[in-house]
Amino acid sequence: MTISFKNRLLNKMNLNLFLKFVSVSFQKQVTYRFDCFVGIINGFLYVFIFTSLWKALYSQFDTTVHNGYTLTAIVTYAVLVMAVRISFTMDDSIIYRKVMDGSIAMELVRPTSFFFMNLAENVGHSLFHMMARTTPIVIISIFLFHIAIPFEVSRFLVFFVSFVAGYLLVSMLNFIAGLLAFWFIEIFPFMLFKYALYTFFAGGIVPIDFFPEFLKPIVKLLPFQYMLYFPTTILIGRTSLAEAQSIIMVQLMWIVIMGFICALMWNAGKKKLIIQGG
Amino acid sequence: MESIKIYLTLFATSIKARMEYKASFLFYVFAILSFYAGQFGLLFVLLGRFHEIKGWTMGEMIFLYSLHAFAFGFTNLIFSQMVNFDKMIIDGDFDRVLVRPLSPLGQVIFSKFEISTAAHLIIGSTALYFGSHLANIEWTLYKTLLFPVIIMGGVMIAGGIRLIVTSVAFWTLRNRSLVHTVIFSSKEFINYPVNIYNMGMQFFLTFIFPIAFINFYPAHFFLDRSGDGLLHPALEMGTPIVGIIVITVSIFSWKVGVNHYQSTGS
Repeated sequence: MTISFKNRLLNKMNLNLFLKFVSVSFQKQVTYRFDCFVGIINGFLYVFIFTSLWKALYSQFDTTVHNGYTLTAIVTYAVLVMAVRISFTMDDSIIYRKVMDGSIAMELVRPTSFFFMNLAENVGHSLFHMMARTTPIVIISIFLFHIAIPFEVSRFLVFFVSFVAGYLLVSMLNFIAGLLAFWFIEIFPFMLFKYALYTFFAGGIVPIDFFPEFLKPIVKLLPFQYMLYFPTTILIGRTSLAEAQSIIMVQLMWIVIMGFICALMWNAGKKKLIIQGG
Repeated sequence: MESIKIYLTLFATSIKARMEYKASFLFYVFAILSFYAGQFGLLFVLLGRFHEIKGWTMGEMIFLYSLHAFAFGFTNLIFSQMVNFDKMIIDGDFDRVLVRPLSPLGQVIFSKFEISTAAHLIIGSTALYFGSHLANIEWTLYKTLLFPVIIMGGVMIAGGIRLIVTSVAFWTLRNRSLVHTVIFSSKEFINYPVNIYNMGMQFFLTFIFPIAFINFYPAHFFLDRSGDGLLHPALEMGTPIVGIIVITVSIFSWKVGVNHYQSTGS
């Protein structure tokens, strides 16, 4: 009994299969070269706008440090938070499309876990964007803007862990939002709402340090800052390595909480799907 | 005369079709409002900390937003089908349009009206109210009369740009990512006063991709700001002229595209 359960679980999270899904999803992206080129311009456009904005804001004052950020530090933040964000690019309409065209039914008969296969698809998608978009944007920015990253191997390692944790959180957020398709005919409004929350509360444009005091307790209660803000501040050296450890612990806690919500919603959704007959 | 009647029927049908899903319509409005709330939130955070952006205070920034929201709202209402136009070509739906005795452009425009535009107009009006109040705008008769003209100019610029990128689909077929970058991402440029950018970019946003005329330049006129810092003070009143130029070029590019069009056969 226990052995068969173990086998089933292993089967559900089969690594080889996971990697295969990753590679298929990666290759799907490769076919859209023109889109990729436009995507680089698109990402760079945001970097340009926000670095210009910070320069303009800082030029108005004689003081060079605002909320703990020098101009170089804030420009570095603006570039890298966008780099992390672009690396987190995934297709958040996959589940919606599967529910709409009924192919979600196939996921129920597969012996694999839908969550993990969806994650694999996201990873393939994101890996492509990381290579094809993040890399050129960061390289161009290094030449065009004055950015400073502390070069410490241990910091890069800690960043990597926190980056992966942040990625899992974003993927779960998209999973949860996507599953709403079981209950609603249209989920685009939810996606727009999600986008607004994510951009604002994750520190996607303005780092949390600049937020007014009354907003900070709200930000603390939400998982968003663990998606973009903390991975980025670890990378640029604003969060110390000692602090980073406890942050990663909180990230893990959020992964457990959101994972639980994902499982709950997926099971409820499955029931709903069966009632409708697919 | 006959064709005007047909267009009116198409318009009414499109609105009716959209209103069939009232819940979805309300969801859209709510989502768009939350999107704006996020943007205003960021603006308040920045202004709370830095007080102004290159000489633009809170009220003036809000007024800048209001012009933008109005222009974008009406553009979205009229030119909403342009966003997914490449799908029409790929699926072969455009062939149907061509065999009917009505202008293809008219049919495409009248095939879909995005009424969630209401959300943009709510934001535009609210921003106009608070912006005028905070920035102490003196609404003279001249300004009041010119306001709709400026908005119309802005719609012609934004709509013309949409039409131009849409026409690219006649050559490339799939052009979703380009459309999204040009229509939605580039909007981000004029969320802030254009004078925060370097000269090259200001030139680009004025003469090549003239979205600075949607809000930045006309705002100088309404706010009685001195135009001395501009590339040229006369640009303040340029919106209607630029609008006419952009829409003319866009209709031309659309016509060239239609003539070049070869069905995908699907």
